[in-house]
Amino acid sequence: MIWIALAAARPVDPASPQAKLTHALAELAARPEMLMSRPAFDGESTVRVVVECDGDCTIPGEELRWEGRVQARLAPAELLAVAALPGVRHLREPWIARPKVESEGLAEVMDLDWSAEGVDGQGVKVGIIDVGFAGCEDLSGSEVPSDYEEAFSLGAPESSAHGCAVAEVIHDFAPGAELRLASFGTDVELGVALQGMLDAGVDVVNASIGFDNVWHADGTSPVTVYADTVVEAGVIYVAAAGNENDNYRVGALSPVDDGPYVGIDGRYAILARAPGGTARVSFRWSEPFGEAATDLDLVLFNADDGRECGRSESPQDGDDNPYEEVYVEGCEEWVYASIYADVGTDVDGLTGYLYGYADLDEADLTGLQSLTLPGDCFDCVAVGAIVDDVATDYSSRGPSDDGRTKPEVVAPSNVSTASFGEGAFKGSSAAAPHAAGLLALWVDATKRHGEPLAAREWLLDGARDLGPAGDDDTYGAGAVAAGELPPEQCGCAVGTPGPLATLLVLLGLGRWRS
Amino acid sequence: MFPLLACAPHPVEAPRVQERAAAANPAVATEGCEKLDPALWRAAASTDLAQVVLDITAPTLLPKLFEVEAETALSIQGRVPGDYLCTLAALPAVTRVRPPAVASPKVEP
Repeated sequence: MIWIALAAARPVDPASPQAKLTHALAELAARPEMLMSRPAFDGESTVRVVVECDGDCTIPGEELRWEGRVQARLAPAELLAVAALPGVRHLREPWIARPKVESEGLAEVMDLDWSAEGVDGQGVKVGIIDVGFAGCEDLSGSEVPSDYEEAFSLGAPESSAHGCAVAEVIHDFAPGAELRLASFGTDVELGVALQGMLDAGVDVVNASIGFDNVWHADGTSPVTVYADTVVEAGVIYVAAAGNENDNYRVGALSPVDDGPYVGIDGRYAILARAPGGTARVSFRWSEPFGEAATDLDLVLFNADDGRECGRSESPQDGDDNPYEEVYVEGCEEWVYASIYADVGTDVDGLTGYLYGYADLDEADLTGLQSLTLPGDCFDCVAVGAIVDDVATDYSSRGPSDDGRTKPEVVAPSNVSTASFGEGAFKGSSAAAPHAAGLLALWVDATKRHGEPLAAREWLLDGARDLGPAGDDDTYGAGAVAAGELPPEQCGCAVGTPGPLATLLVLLGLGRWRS
Repeated sequence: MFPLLACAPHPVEAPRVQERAAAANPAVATEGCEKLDPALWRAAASTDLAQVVLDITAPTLLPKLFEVEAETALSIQGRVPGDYLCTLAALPAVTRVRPPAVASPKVEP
């Protein structure tokens, strides 16, 4: 391995044929089996190349010629030979034109065009934290900046193009902004990814992801603490509010007929969809995590034949989590979810939150308190989804579990991206980057780096009120809107570094090994 | 009133899960194991690697078998053979051993 590395590091003679090939083509010449992975592979045995040459060079496989550039099809074995021909200066793969896809939400939000004033996000760093960025490389230089930075990869970054679609929307708004991408999959990895964003001095973080029903949505969950700590460090944090409004039943717990069943807001057989027979339902209640003393359990019954198909019976005796989850295959397409306890268990004063990973029956929905985490953060911006100024059915509603109005704002969904196609980027995932892109422009316009609370206040003040007059738990302050270009306020130099990362909450404390 | 009551088994008739788990794997009934999330009880009976999170209150000595993947001041994520889970749970600075919470993208089909 060492010898291979040294050989690869040896400089190439600039006059040699190999030096006239792009790195990708030189690699292809050395390893013809890579042919099928090249974007310009023609499906047979050749790759399409552009040969830049002086004079009347003759190139095998020529297709077209224009002012010293010849487009040709060559087999990998021919690349070095063509590079060695007289007059040939350079071989590369052709640039492939793509139609620019722009989110329809851009025009909706930018009611006044700031770009004419030179505001395009230059000098602003935006961090995108997501579960995957598949396909971003192919969109580099068109839909996303050519110099975007992949900060680091945890989880499964190639599993989804979701983060790339987010990046596209932000780039539509702020084409001058630097984008820094970081993938993750779990709560701890989110903390590490956010620390990386702080170390890089980003101004804005967009996270179109969430954790559902695994902690309380009252600002205390670990991931919520991470988000609020990021804001405390001077970074604007934009969160998807969630798409969970079709998934929750929330309400006061009460015993049913002095029996073992416990009702949630009066219902104790809650119909949940189990696609393909896979049922996944979770239940938490309003005791503190780590201190639950009321032992409640969750059981699922097939909706048609009435047989039990799964149960969760974690003990709660004073130092446990108020949480049960059933994740089981082999059920019917719909199941009844029921909560039960030993007869006589006191549930007075407790609130229950039942969550179906697929949706619940419409009659069982409560239509409130359906935020994803960390959309319950105190100082971030949680963004719900609208289409034509109407909240989507699924867009998560507030309030937070401790009674704060949520989401902060709403923004367009069902928008177009190259990653997802025309009108196919849907959800609060799509809405959040509209707010993040606008806030990146605000930082550019005002030069107020490191002032996330001022940015949040400006965004909420300028939002276009929707729904009931004033703030509400569906639309928050309303739809994000650019309005008049805010004035530059601090006279800071463009590119003022963002906050330095010295956060004890996120910082690893180190450990000792035995 | 209850749509299933006539045909469904009474939910508390069967032994509860902790009793069943303790019968299958006496380790979960030992000291220290009370900080192990019930979702990991089955894993604790196996030597297969389990991906877990240790919620901690202070830096702590970890066995070499614990392969760290990511960490913050509050939590350490890593992989460890299942039969070491109770050993980890018994560490004084560890408040909970649990599966990682998994994020989902907030996109609609």
